[in-house]
Amino acid sequence: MNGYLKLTLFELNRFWKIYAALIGVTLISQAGGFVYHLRNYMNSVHRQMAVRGFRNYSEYREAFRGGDSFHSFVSFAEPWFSGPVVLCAAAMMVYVLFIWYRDWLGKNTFIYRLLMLPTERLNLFWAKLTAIMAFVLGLIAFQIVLLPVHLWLFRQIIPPELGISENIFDFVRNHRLLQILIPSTFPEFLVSYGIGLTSVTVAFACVLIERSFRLKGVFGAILYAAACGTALLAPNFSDRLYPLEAFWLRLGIGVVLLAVSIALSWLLLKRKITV
Amino acid sequence: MKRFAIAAVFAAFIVLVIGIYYVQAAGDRSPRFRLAAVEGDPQEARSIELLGWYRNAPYSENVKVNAEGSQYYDELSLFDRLHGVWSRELTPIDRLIFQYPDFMRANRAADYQDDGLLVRVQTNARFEVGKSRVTHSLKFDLLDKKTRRTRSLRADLPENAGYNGLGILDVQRSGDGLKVAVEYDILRNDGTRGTPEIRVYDIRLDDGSVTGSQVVHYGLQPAEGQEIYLSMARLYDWTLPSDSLVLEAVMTEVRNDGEAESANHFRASVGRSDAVERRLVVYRYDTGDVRSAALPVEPPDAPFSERLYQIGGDALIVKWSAKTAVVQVYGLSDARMKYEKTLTARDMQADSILNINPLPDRLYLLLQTQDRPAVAAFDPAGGQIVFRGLVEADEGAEGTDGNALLRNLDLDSVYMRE
Repeated sequence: MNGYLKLTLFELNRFWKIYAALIGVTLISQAGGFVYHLRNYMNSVHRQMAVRGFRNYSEYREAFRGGDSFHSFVSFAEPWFSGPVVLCAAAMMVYVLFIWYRDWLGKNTFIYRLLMLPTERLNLFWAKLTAIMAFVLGLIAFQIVLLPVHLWLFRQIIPPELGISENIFDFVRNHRLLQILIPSTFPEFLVSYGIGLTSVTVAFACVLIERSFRLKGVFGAILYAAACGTALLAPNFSDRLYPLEAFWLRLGIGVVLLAVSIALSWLLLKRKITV
Repeated sequence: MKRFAIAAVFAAFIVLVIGIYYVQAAGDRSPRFRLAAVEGDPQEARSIELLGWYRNAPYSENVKVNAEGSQYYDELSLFDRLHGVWSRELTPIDRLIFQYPDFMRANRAADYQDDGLLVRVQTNARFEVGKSRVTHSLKFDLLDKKTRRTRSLRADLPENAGYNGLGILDVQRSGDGLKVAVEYDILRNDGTRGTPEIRVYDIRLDDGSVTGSQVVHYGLQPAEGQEIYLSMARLYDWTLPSDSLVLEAVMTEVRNDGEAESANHFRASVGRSDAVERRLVVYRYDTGDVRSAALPVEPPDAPFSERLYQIGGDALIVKWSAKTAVVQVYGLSDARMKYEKTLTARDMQADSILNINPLPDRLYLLLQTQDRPAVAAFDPAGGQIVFRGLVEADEGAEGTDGNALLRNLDLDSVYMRE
């Protein structure tokens, strides 16, 4: 247990600079871009009001059918808003592979020192898996914290006559990217991130297959990933299954893939990868 | 130790933020609505469900409203959504999927059911190259509801020369057999249609053999340049037994307005077809009698919608606009008009009529009053409005400007609650 915790801390620690940068980019891009856009909007409103002699925002709203929602304002600033989310997602996908390869490809082939630690080799696998899931969920939590901040900024900059406030949950449910990353209900969250966890273990197994068998391993890894993907998607190809049956089948397949990938990784780490 | 503490804070941050988000999301409820009876039997309100949307700022949420309250699609659990709870009562097919999931698996269709039998019919066409002709057959899937045993039958239809299209109109049980009403069509190479034929086949249930057939003469004979279109009366549940086949036959005159060049620079003939004669046709399965009645031909730009319904033992022709619905009730035994009734939105204490839905023994009118949706039930047997209901915003919500909430509620259809 101690070995696992120390390795997890180690994994968390060695990525924190990039992680902090991702969080910083998200904060600056979303909040900065949103404020920039909102201020531009208000400047144009003020210009129009001056030109047309409107005395208050209500007159402007009447004339221009104004009164957009928080969602609409976010949509106008969408590249600023969704861009960093996509960047973080891409970074995490790359890091799922890089978290292993940096140990092999970095200076002094650091993996050999890790593998020779006086602890179960599988702890290395668990530590990396925990770190990846913690990074992903940390980004999600950070995004959840940012949303009320954005809503607060919206309420501060856009007067109530021109902006329709809404609650965060409706916004998330209807935002095309966030509705995937932050599912509506907790069971859906568990299912989504359960699929994510399974995908990460499959990717880890693929890396270990490649590291164990090198060139042959590349084909093996591709084959394994394709087999897992096909197995997970197989229920979609049957029109004989009702949606709930397909869901239970997919869940069962996911659990099996998770177990097989962990077992395979354990076997490869223990028997195949030698120092 | 410091690193452990930072990691622990990071983990606590994740758990707390995500936990609080989902606890609060679970408590986030859209406004509650309820259907209240204002006239007639309150039990009537409990037997129906209204379906539509609630406009929530920039979004729309699917909502159902009944006498007990309201339900939003977004508030269903993942499992309820996957289990099809939302649509379970909406159509006859959805109800059958819940009752007989194995029979409905992979082929979610049904044509007839009674207490003991559920029937699905599919058509098959086989082109015989040597004989240059198409032979048609019917494939029946039968479920014995009591034993839950299924079996299939194939019925080869006799050749009906000249027709190149076939569709099932209706299936009914008759003694130990089935009666299947089939529409034969002719579609010519030049795009014109020949005169369709309706034929009712007698099929034995034990071996699928065709024991007889009868042509349904609907009483229209097209001249050159005229075409006939047939359509079934709308029913709430077409799978339930009925002693009649109710159709509307419309004869149209095709007017050729010359040729025009399309956007792709092809020249194509342009024309329109106007109705010149309409008939209500009722075929009685038990006697084989056909009764028909001439219906008025309305101009194409008539300021109302018109639909034919079969409700209980009557056929209803309903012409409706936003302010008025004129209901003509025809008896199925003789195809004669029993009476005509004009229902105005004002008589129903509403501003406008939004939609009309048939239920097993009622014609439901969805209404809009000044500030809220309403509903009225017309009983064709008695010729009266027997129920009127108003949608109310639930207590609490009403206090926080319930009228504004009700103005954001758009209901567009009525369903039976099982």
